[in-house]
Amino acid sequence: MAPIGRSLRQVEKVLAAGADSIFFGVRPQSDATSRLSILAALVEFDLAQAREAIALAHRHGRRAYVTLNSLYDGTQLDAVVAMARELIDAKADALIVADPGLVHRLGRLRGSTELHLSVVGRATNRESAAFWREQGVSRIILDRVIHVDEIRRIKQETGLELEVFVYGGFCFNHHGLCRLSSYFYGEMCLAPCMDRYTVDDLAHAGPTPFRSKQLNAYNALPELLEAGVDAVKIEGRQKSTAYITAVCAAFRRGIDALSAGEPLPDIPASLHIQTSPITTEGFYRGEENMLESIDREVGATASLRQLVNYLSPISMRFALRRQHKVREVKSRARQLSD
Amino acid sequence: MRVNFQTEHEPTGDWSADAINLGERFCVRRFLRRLDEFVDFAKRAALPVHLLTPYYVRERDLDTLIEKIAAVAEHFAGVYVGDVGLARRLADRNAVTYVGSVYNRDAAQLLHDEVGVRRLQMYPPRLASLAEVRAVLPVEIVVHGHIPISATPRCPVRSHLGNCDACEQVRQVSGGPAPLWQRGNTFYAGRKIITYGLVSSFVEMGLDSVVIETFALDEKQISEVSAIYHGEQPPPNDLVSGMFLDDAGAVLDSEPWFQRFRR
Repeated sequence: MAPIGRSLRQVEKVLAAGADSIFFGVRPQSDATSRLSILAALVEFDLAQAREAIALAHRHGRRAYVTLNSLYDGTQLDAVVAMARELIDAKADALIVADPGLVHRLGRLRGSTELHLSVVGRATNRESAAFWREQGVSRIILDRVIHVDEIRRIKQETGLELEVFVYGGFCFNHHGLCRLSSYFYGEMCLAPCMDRYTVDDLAHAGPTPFRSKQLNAYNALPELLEAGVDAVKIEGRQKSTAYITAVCAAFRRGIDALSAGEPLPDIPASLHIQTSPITTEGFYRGEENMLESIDREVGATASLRQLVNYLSPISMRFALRRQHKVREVKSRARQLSD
Repeated sequence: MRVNFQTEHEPTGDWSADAINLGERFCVRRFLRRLDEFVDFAKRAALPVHLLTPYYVRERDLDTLIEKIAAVAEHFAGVYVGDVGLARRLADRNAVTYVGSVYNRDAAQLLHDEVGVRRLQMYPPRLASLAEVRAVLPVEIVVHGHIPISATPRCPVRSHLGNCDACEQVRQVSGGPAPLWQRGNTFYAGRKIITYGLVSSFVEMGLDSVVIETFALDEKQISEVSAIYHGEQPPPNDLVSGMFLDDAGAVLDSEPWFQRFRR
C-alpha cells in the first residue's frame, strides 16, 4: 500500500511500481475543520483530484483508500461526514478513520466502502480490535511497536484484516497518545518531532531531539506475512514520487518472492534512500531504541551514567525561530486550502 | 464539583481532596509490581480511591491486566482505563472512567452504549468539545498540574538499555533527587496546566469533577491549589488559564513551550 499526495501523475507511477493500493488525504471543503487527516497539511488532494485518483486506481484494478483519521469536535464532525459521503459516492474502497464518533456515524452510511481503523485509533490488542470490528471496521492498522506474536494472536482471535507499516517515518511516541503537536499547533500530528529546535541545555541531543529513526522492516517481511498481516504500508504521503516508487518496487519484489515460496531477496539498494541515516525494524521482532538522537550521541555501548547525563538536563527553550516555523506552516496550509 | 488528586505515589497528609486517583499509567510492569501498594492504600484511605491503569495495553499484557485488576477492583471506587478493549472487559463489574481522545457527542455515546463507560476523563480539550461530550457522559478534566507530552510506556531509557527498570535505578540526576520515572516517565517535560480562570465555566458546564495532577507539587502547594478549586480561597491574580483556549495561536505566543525541570 503506497502513499500518494503530490499529483495524479504520481498515482500512475506508484501503481506501475507494483502497489496494490494507494492511500491519500483530502482537503476539507469548508472552514469547519482545518484538516481531515493527520500529517497531511501540505499534501492533500482536493475532492475532484480524490475522485480522479480513485477512478485511476480502479482502472488499473487496484484499490484506493482515503484518510479521515483525525479527531473531531461536533461541528467538525458534520463537515467530515459530508466529505465521507462524497468519497463513498466516489467509490473509495475504504476510509481510514480513527474517531469513534465518525465510525459511529458512518456505520449507517458507508455502503460498500470499508472502514479501516487508523493507527491513531489505537487497537493494540484483540479486545480493542473486536470492539472496532463490531462497529463495522474491517481492517486494523497496527502500531509499529507490536510484536509479530501479538499480531498473530490478534489475527487468530478476531479474523480482522491487519495492516502494518513497513517503511518510512517512525513515531517516537504512540500514535494518539502524543501531545507534542497539540502543544505546538493546537492540532493533532503535524510531526513536530521531525523539526529542528534550538536547545539550551541539551546540546548532546543535536538539533532534532525528538526525531525517530527511519522504519525499515523489510527483513521482517517473512515473519509479518506468516503472522497473518494482510497489507504492508509505506509511510510518507509527503515523499517524492521517486522515493515512493523505489520503496514500493522493493517491497513488491520481496512479497512476490515470499508468496512464491522463495527466500526473501537481500535488502535492495533502493531501500537505502531513506531520509534518516539510522533505521529500525520497529518492534516487530524485538524492542529497540527508536530515537535517532540517542544512537547518535550515546552510542550502543553507553554506560548508564552517560545515558543519564544525556537525558537529565532536558530543559528546552524554543526560540523565536520555532514560532516563525509554526506561523510559516500555518500560513502555507491556509494558502493551500484557499 | 469534586476535586480529585491524581498521583502515582501514596498520598500523605490532608489535601482536602474529594477523591484520589492512584496508580501507574505508563508502564505495565511497574503497575503490576506496585498493585499491592495501591490496594493497601485504598483499604486504609478515608477517601474514595480510584485505580489508574496503564493507558497503552499491548496484546501480550491484556490477559494479565484483566485478571489482576478484576481481582482487586472491589477495593476501589472505580478504575481509569485508556484502552477501549480493557475498558470493555472491566465495565461489567467496575465503574470505568475512560481516558482518551473523545471530542464529540457521537464518540461519547458509542463508548457509553457499547463499552459501558460511565465517565470520561479528558485532557485539555477545546471548550466546545467539553460541553458537547458532557451532555452524554459525566466528564472529569485535568485542570491543574503537570501534563507530560505523552502518555506512553515507550521510554527511550528502557528501549536503549533493554531493561524496563533501568530508569528506577537512577537516584541522582544532575544533583536532583528524583529518578527519571518520577518525572512522569516522559522525561521530555510537558507543560504545566493552570486553569483557575476557567473554574466558573467548568461549574456552569456541570462538570462532575476536576483533577489536580500532583506531580511536582509539594504538600503545601497541593493544599493551596485544592482550596482555590474548592472556592475556599481566591486564585492569585498572576495565574491565568492555559491550554483550554480555543485559539491555539494565543497559546503559542503566550508561554514557553516547555516547563523547565527542577535541577
